[in-house]
Amino acid sequence: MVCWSLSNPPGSTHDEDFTLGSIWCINGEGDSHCLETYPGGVKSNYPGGLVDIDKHSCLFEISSSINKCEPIIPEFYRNSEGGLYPTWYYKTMNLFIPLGSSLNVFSMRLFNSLTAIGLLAVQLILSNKQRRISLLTSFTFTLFPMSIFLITSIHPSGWALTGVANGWLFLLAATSKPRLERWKNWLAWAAWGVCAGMCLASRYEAFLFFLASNLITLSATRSKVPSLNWRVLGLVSATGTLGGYALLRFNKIAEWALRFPIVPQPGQIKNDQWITHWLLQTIAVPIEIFGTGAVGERSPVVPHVVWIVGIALLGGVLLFSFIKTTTAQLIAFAGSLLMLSFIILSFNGRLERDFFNLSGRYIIPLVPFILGLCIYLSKSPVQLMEIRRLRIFAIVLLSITHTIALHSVVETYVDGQSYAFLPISVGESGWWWIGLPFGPNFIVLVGALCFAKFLTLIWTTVPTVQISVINSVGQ
Amino acid sequence: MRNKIRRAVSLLLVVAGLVMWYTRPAFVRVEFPEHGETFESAGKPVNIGDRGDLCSSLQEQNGYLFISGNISLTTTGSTQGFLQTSDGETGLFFEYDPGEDSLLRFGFNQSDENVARVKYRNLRKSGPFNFSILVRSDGTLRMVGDDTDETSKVENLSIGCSNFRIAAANGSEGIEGTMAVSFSSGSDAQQAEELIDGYLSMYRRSLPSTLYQWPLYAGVLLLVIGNPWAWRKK
Repeated sequence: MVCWSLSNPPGSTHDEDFTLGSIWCINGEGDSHCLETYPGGVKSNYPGGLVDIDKHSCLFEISSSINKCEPIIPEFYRNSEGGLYPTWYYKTMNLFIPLGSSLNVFSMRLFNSLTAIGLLAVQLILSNKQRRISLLTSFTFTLFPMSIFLITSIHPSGWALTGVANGWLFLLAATSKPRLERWKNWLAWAAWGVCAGMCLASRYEAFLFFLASNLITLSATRSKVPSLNWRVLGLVSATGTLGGYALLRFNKIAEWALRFPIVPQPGQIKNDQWITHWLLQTIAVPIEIFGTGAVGERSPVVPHVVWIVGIALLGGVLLFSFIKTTTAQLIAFAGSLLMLSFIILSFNGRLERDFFNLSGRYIIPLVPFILGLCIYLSKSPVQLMEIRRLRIFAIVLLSITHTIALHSVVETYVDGQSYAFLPISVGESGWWWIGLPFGPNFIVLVGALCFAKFLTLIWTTVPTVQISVINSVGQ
Repeated sequence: MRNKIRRAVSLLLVVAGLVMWYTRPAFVRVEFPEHGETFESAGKPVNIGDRGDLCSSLQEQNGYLFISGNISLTTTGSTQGFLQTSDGETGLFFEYDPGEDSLLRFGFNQSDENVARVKYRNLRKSGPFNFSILVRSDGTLRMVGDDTDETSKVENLSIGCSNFRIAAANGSEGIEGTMAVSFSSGSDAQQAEELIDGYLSMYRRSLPSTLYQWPLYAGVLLLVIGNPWAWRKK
């Protein structure tokens, strides 16, 4: 996580300039780091502010370094003063600004990474074998390059991803039977609350994803339905009405999402063509998580081997989970994909309403959930990662492709992409953190080794099975 | 016990590496040896005027035009023109284009009315940098500065020299930063080559030592992956 945090300069994630501008000016002009604010239409079409963000990647000044920390010159940055996003993400990140120079940006990234790692650690404490396999599968097979890039950057989508990917598993842990120990139960509810808070604080639609994933989880895992009577119906109706009202009242995007853009504007694609196109195309959007989509502002071309291996391994994992399917699993999986299509159509309809433009990062928080739930609901006697040899094979492949992905990202930001696998040279023209004694090649090396060791160690918490092949009678 | 020793050794290596790194002598950026005439700008365009005398050397068989300088930019967010020998694209010009992967490039007018653009290097950050270009009469170019040393060739080279300016080029006026540029020319390009070689030799000697990396990196790796032999045995 630290290596990924160091892999790119401040402002590299999609819209990170906007996010940084919002963080710096979230407390308004009175903040000593937000020097002036402007409403939309003055300096640009959007609201913005004059802020002192250090984009020189200066961790601290050291005289022996070739690159020197330059004085910070306040610049105009757009921000979310128009209420596009919830404010709590920006308010939390704002706490790091006094650290100074680019150290504040790096600290924000580390904080986000540590939060994700902390929640993963809590999951490991709370999980039983079934939940742990689904957790680790959903985590390790959908992690890089896009998810890890977002988690370790400064972007509300990183929090949305962490919150949604973990929330449903904490809910399962908290409501599981037999009950967890008392303190573990409290811990599960507290962690679930943190996940809900992260979603609420980051993006309006993230909280909807959180609610949807939790509802799907509950309905798919709770086989006992209380017998219907007027009391139950009344309670459900009252909760639904109150919840719906609260959602529409406090979550601006909920109302927005319900106004589905079904009526094409003049010159736009007709509904039948548009909807069926995206139904076919739905699967290509979550696949962007493996690097087929844009990773960051400068968008390195992630070598094809990364997403080919990623998709192949994902396919293997899913096939094993479908060896013995259950109705709940099929309904949850198909229902999740349909929900994904609806969300994609909803986003695309409001953006360009075309055949092409829907960035994977909008729906990325749901991908680990869909995969994890599919594994959780599976009744297969064995999962791919439970077979020792296949586990070793998958870990080796994931470690290699992770190294390639990290190298391509670091290389792109340091001195442009070479489309090869060569040592990275910073020289005088390249970008690198000032005041960091480690070079980019070492960061890639450490990142690669740590990831391989992490996968090896974390998967040892799940026991393996040995498969023996019996010859058929005919032989 | 072995684990404790390993940790102690790795921490010792890390500390030793960090001390070596922190106590390295300060880096001082070397500049090009003095030559010809030098002009400076604090950001506003400086008009030098018609310098046909400098360009006339390019008509000789082994003639050359040598330009070197130092530029310090406060921002790399916008297009900037650093120098020109003639207005528009009729001479030699040096500019920065943030849109083309943060590109620093030279432009040369050609006798067939085309303009050749040659990449000098990418510029990923603000701050100071050195540059130089040696233009020979046969169109051969050598572009040197800091750790860049590139050669190229422009066919049908025909650069005008009617309006030398610095901190302005190709329609762009003023730069966000400061710069100093030296121009010289002559009939023997070997003189300029010697200047460049002298600069490169000084530059290599000025680079900070990387010796600290050995203990630091070894210490971190030992800490992260543990004893590789013990690991294998497991």
